[in-house]
Amino acid sequence: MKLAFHAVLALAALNSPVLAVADPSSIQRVGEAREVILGIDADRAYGEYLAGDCVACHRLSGEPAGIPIIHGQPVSDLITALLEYKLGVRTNEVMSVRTARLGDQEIAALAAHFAAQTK
Amino acid sequence: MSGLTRRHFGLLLGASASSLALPTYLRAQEKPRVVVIGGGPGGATVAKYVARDSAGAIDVTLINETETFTTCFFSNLYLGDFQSFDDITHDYDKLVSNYGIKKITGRAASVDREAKTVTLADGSTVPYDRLVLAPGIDIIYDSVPGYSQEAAQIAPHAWKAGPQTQLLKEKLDAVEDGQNIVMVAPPNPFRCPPGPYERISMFAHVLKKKGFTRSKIFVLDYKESFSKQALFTEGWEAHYPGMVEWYGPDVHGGVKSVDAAAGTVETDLDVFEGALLNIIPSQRAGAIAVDAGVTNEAGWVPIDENSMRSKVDDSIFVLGDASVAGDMPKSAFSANSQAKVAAINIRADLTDARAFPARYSNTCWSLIETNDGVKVGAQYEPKDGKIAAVETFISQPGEDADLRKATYEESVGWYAGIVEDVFG
Amino acid sequence: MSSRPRVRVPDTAKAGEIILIRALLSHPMESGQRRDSSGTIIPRKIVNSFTCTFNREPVFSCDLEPAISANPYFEFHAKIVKSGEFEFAWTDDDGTIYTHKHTIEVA
Repeated sequence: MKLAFHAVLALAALNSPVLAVADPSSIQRVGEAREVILGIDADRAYGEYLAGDCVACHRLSGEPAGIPIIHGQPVSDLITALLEYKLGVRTNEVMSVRTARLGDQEIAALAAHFAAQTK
Repeated sequence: MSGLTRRHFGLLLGASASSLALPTYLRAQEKPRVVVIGGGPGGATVAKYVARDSAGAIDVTLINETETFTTCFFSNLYLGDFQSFDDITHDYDKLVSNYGIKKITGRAASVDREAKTVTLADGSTVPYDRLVLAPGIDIIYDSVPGYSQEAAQIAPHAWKAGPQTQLLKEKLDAVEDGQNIVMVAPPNPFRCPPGPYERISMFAHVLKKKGFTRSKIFVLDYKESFSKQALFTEGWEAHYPGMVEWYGPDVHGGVKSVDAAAGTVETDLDVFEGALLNIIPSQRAGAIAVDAGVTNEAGWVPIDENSMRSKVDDSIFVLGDASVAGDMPKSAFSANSQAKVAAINIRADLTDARAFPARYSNTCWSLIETNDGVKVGAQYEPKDGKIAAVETFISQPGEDADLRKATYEESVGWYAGIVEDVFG
Repeated sequence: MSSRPRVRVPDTAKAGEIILIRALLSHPMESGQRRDSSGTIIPRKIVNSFTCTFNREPVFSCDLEPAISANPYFEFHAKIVKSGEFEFAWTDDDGTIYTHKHTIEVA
C-alpha cells in the first residue's frame, strides 16, 4: 500500500530531481506523521499567509518549468511531500530548508490552503 | 480562485467588527489608504497582497518612476543572451485590473510624516494611513573616485535595470578579441551579493561563444571575498580558463580612480585598462527613504524584524534593498518575502485581519555557464533583535552536471513564478 | 600566454628606508592535475621561478610549485641603500622569461 502510494507520487507533478532511496522506517514515519496532521483542524488564514513563501516559485498557472505544481493537489499528497522533504526521504536543498521549520500546524495549514487553490 | 466564499464571509465579519475597531481619525465610510513607493519585487508585492487579501477593504496606490519595470534580477541572463530585454520587462496592468490598485507613474519627491502625505515630483500629494517605502538603491557615484552619472554613460554600472542594462549589453557585444573588460565590484553591503560574479560569468560566456581567445576580464574588488566564491572560481577555471582575473584589495591595494573616457581603472598596484569598464559603486537606500528621515548613518533603513515596520515611524514600512534586514541579502526574493510580512501587518493594523509570526526566506540562483547553475539560500526568523538565518544551504563545488542543470532550470521556474507573484 | 607583469615599487626612497615591493603576473599556472571535460589531463604549464635583483644582485627569489594558484602575487620588503634598478623575472616551464625593470632614486 505504501509502495503503491509512492509510485503515484512519482507520477504526480511533485517530482524532485533528486530522489533519495527511502528506507522503510522513514516512509513509516512519514505515514504516521501524516495521520496526525490530517487530524488537525487547519487554520486557512495561516495557510494563506505561509503560502507566501511558496508562491514565488510554485506558481498558480503554467507548466512547472523546473518547479512542480502544488496548487489543487490533494491534501494528503501535499502533506506527504512536505513531510518527505522534512524527514529527508526526498532531497532538495531549497525544500529541505523550507520544511525544516514547519511544525504540524504549519503543514496542515499549507496543505489545506494549496489543495483549495484551483485555477 | 475558490476563495471567494471565504473572503465574502470574512468581509462580512470585518464590516461588523471594524466599526468598533476603527481609530477615531478614520470615518466609517472612508477606506484606509496604503501608499507604496517603488514598484519592484518589494513594493508591487505588498501592494498586491494588501489589495487582494483585504478584498477591497483597503485603498492601495502604487507609485513607480517608470511605466514598466525591468527586473535587475535575471538581467545578467539578458547580458548573456539567455533572456531578451522584453522577457525581463513587465507592466502593471494586471495589478490594476485584477486588484483595483491605483498605479501612479512618477517620482515620489518627498514624504511629510506629520501630515502623512507623499508629494510627487509634479507637485501633487497623496495621503496615506500606512506608507511602504520600497525604493531600492541609489548609486553613490563618487564612492569610486572619478566616477559620475555622466561617466556611467560610457562605463555603465547597470546596477539599476533599464537603459543602463541595454547600454552595457551594447558595449559588451562590441568588445573585440584581444580587448579587455574591467569590473570594479563594490564593498558590502550591496544589492545582489552574487550579482557581479554571475555577470562576470555572462561576460565570459559571450566572449567564449564568439571564439575569443585573447580577451581578459579583470575584477577589481573592494572586498576580500565574495558570495559563492568557491563555486564561481571553480566554474571560471573549468569553463573560461585564463579569462577571468579576480583581485581583492590585498593584491590591487585599492582603487584610486576611474577614467571612463580613457577606459582605465587605476589601483595602487597598477593601471588596468579595458574596452569596457563596468563600475559598480557603493550604494544606499533610495533617496525617498533619506528624505523621509528613516535612514541610519550608513544610508540604509533599520526595521522591526517582526513586521518590516520602520523603527522610527509606526506608519511606515520599509522593504527590500533599502532595508537593514539582518542576515537577509539584498535580493528580489528577499524583498518579495519581506513584502508578505509587511502586508499581513498592514492589514492587521487597518482591518481585523490576523497577523502571524514573521517568517522569511531567500534563494539566490546564479548561472555560471549554460546549464551550470548554483544557488544559496536560507530560512530566516526574528531572533535577538534582527532577522536571523535559521537554516541555510549552498551548492557545493564538484556537483555533477545533472544537478547543476536542474538548479538552473529551477531558477527559470522561479523567475516565472516570482514575476507572476509580483506583477500578476 | 601572459599579460605584462604589474609591479609596484616606489620611485624614490631615503637611504636605509625599507620599502614594500608588490609584483603580480597574470599566468594560468596550470598545475597538471586538472582534467578537461573529456577526462584528459590538462598538461602542466606554470611559472616555476621568480627572481628579484637590484643592480644585478639577488634580493629575493623562489621556486614555484604547481600548488600555487593562477596569477601569482608576491609582496616583500627590501632595504634601499642606494639608487639603482630592480629587475624582476618570471620563468615559464616553456622557457619564456617575463621581465620588468624599475628604477629607484635615493633622495
